[in-house]
Amino acid sequence: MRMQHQLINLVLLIAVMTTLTACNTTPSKSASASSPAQIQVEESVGFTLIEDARVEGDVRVDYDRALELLARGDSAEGISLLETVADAAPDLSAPRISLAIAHHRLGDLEQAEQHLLQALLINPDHPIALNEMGIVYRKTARFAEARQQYEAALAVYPGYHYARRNLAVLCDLYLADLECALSNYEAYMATVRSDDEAAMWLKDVRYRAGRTEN
Amino acid sequence: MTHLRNILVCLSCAGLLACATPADQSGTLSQLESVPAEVDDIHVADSLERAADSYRRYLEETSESARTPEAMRRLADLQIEQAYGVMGHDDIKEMATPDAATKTQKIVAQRSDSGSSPDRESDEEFEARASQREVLLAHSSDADPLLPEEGTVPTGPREAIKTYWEILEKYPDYERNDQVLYQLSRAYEEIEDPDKAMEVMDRFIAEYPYSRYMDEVYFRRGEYFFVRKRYFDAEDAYGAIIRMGDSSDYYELGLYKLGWALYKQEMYEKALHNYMAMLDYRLSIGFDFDEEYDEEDEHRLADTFRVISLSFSNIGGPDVLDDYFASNGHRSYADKIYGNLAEFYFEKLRYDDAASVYKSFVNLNPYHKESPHFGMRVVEIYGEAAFPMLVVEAKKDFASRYAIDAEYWRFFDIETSPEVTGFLKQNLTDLAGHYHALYQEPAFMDEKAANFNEASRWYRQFLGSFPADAESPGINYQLADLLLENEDFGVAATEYERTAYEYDSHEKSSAAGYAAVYAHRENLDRATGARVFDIKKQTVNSSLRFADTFPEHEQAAVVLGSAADDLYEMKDLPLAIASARKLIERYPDTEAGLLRSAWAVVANSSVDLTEYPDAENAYTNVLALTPEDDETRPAVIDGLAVAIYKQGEQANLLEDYRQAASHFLRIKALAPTSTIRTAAEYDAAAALMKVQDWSQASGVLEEFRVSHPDHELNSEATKQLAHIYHEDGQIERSAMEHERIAAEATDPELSRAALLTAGELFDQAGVIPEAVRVYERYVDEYPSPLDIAMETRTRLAEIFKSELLYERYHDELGAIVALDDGSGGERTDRSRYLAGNAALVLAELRFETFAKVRLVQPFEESLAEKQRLMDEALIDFEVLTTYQVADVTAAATYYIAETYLEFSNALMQSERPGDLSAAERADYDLVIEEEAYPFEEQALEIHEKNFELFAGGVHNDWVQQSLDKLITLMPGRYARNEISGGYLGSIDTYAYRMPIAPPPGIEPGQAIDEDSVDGQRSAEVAAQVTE
Repeated sequence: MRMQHQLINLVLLIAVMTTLTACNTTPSKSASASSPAQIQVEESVGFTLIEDARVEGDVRVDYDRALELLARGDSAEGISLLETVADAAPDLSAPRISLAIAHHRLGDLEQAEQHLLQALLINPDHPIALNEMGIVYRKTARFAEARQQYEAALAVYPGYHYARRNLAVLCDLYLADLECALSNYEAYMATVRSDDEAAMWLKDVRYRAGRTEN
Repeated sequence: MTHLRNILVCLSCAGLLACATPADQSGTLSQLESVPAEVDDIHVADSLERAADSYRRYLEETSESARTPEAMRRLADLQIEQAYGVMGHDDIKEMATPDAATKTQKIVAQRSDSGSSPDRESDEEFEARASQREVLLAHSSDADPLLPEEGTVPTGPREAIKTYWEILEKYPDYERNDQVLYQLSRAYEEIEDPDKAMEVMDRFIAEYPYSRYMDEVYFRRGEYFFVRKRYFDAEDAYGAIIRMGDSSDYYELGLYKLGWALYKQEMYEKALHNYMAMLDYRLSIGFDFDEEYDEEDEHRLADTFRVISLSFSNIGGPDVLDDYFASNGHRSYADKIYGNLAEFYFEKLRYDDAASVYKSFVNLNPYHKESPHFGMRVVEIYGEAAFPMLVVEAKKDFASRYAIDAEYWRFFDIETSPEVTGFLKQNLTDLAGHYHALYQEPAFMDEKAANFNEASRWYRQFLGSFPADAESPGINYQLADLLLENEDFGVAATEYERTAYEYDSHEKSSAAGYAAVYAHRENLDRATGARVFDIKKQTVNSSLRFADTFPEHEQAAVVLGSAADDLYEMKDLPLAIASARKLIERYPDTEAGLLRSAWAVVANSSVDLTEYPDAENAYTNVLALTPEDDETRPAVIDGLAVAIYKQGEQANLLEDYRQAASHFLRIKALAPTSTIRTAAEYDAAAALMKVQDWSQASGVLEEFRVSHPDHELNSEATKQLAHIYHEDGQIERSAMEHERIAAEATDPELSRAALLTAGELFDQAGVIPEAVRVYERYVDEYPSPLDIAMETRTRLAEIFKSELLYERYHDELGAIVALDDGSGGERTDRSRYLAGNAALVLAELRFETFAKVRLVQPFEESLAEKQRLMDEALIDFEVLTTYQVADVTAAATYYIAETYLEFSNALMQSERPGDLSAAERADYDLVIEEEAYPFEEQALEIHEKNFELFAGGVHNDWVQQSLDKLITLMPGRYARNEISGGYLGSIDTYAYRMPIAPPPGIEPGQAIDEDSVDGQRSAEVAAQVTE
């Protein structure tokens, strides 16, 4: 788990650096008129979301430490520290999103939803927050709302593979919307180099949709 | 007069000497010219004698010359003078002074007691006196000598007459012979020989028609004839003077005497012309008839007026005066004529004629300054005549004509006529009093209204005319009395008030103030309809004013008290209170009943004004002044209680509940017999409940319930106690109180609700046996309303379940299902829901029973048993769907699937016969598997159906459980979970890179190591799968 977390951080760090480099050469757009955040999109690569807020050094350190605590399974400590960070940086969505994910993983969907709502108040177009909210809505059987969240995330960046796959699953299992499932599975598959599991689901959907032989 | 004569004598002598003596003759008569005249009486006789001697010496010592006749005439004049005093033209001798006629002004000034004087001269005496002339001309001598006889005439005059005749004879051309003749005639008059005098005057007229003495001579002739009743001749003589014109000094006298001469001839109108001419003449020379002149002038004027009156009287009645002036022109002094004629009549006791003359003048001259005086005189005359009705009419006429606002006063300053205004005041007073008396006279009942109007009119005119007069308050009081007697109470009250308050303080001020209140109250007693309020208000205002203005009046306290009562009735509460308190403070020692009433007003008004502390204080005082056996005492106590109670209510409104409770509880001590005591105690408890003083509140209510066991609020008290105990955490006591409520309530619904609450409270308190007891009693007694009964049974079921009393639990569930089944038309969604869930639990029991049965050898028996149980279970679950409760239907669907799955599994796990060979066992297993597989397929199909409810909008645990089963049983189809992006690695920056994107540092399209990238991405995706 620790190794995994470190790997994620590393990937994120690389991604951030790449995005920052790309910023010099690609157009950018604001996440919303009222948001202090900016999303810089590079269509064939991905996007970088930057929230303009002054962050004290201690807060930044606490955030990193909280993630470490969560990564090593110390959820209570991690959540507590994240809440402190969220209070100290009320204009940033990342602490709220991470808090939501932590509560989600603990099975507390209600708390997860509340933190995501706050995050979306700070940054309504945050693809991660939207994707996480879509999952929460699905699990609480609010399928239409879940679909809206996923589609909102994809509107920011259509290649956001998390939301794409989740939307495909939602349409497949819960909405019984095979066309939706089919198109989103296909789109998802276009964003990843390989996903055997998803490829199998795509084949199943095509079958059920009468598109191909099983 | 004597003094003047002396001066004239001296001047005469001096003049004579100046003419007779040259200027340079020293020591002669001419020298006398320079001798200062001696004016002292002591020296007059000597001077005359010396002068006469001088003339004698002159005549003796000088030869006859042109001056001789002059010296002779002077000597004769001196001799006459020595004997009779001065003679000559300088002084007109007039008639003796008569008693002057009374002047009009004096008549006015005097009152009606003037009357005719018994000493007044008669008309005959007047005529004799007024027409009399000098005695010298009145007496005639039988002898007719040129010279009087010796012995009867003194020597001096005799010598003088002789001298005059000598001059006439010896010096016929003497230029002053007219004077000699004039002096001679006068000398004869002096010696009382008028006939001789007339002879001389005849010669004078014949010889010197242009002499300056002619007018006097004519006058003397007229007098001569008049005395001798030769009026026609006298008329001629007087007429000669008049014809000479008004330059004559005898002009006015001539007119006067000519009038008399005509009058004597009964030519009255002509006589009047001459009298008027005389008066006109006087007026023309500046005579003012209103001014005072010397006595002689006044007398002549008075006589003139009198003879004018006589003339008019002789001509006819009172009307002739008007006719005369109409024909002969108006005279500015006509008022004098009218006045004198009127008084003339009055003296003759011709009262009506006298009054008529006055009234005639007044009518013709309404704006004459004398008219009011004449009007006054008319009143007096009628008074003298004892004509009371005419007096009244005259007074009314006067009062009308000379009222303060009358037209007359546009022409005259009222300030300068005090006698008129004084008379007017008296007149008005008399008239008002007269009619007021008539009004009161029973004999004149028929004229009562008219007399009232007259009295009222004159009273009001007086007050309107003389508002500041000293008599006005009294008059005003009388007017008010009149109005009161006439039962015009409202107006009477107004007039009494005016009497009391609009004048300086007077002896009847306070009485009038009280009378005003009395009149108002009389008026109020008779008022009806909307007027009642207005009149009452006026009554109160008058009362308050009276009490404030005359606080020492013996009735002041009573009046004030009544006003306070009225103010309360009128709901003028602040003023009612103020008035009542004023009575209390100002008259602390007054009658207890008054004080009690005043306190009652304060009390009741304060209640109405919601000033309850004041009300309480007032009621306390009322109570203190109320005898123990007074029948109103209970009401007073109730009032006191209300005042306190209202304070409690006010405190409640202010949310000062503890204070409110304190007030409510005070009633028990201060007004224990009041009717609201019990309610107050109850409300005290309610207030205490508001402040959550549960202990005191419950104590009050417990005591209340004990003290008033039959009170209608008892059941309410029980409810409150139930609430109190509940709020106080004494849930079990609250439950008990609720059970009591249920037992005592006459309202079935209340009883039902209380019983349910009792059960719930026992339940809440954890007194489960009591809760079960009450709940069971409830569901037994109240199967309806259905939902509540179902809920209660559900709760019972839960209790039994929690108490592990499964048999009772299941029984209760069965009862729930049965109740719903038997409810028919009362069935509701809620009852179906509860019954469905209860049935589900019972169905689950049947499923568990079914599931427990293993398929063992002998297989057919166990299979039959399991199949039977499966069928029963399936029936139960099928039945569940009839409740049409989504969750229950989903559960039923789930369990149906599970039943089939259980049966399939049971088959697969069934005990195999022990005697099978391997081949047989394989065949057997194959058969079992083939038998079991359709059940599994059936189960999966049903779970998928259940899961499909998701897409239909049904979301519950049972659907989820079906999905979970499907994920387990068909992972390839249903194990499709979402993936999360995971924690955000940076607090303010998030960089996303598509898995398909080239690694950082490699441009898109650039060749990369696919294997390493795929491995990395697959790991990432796997790590982020949420479940």
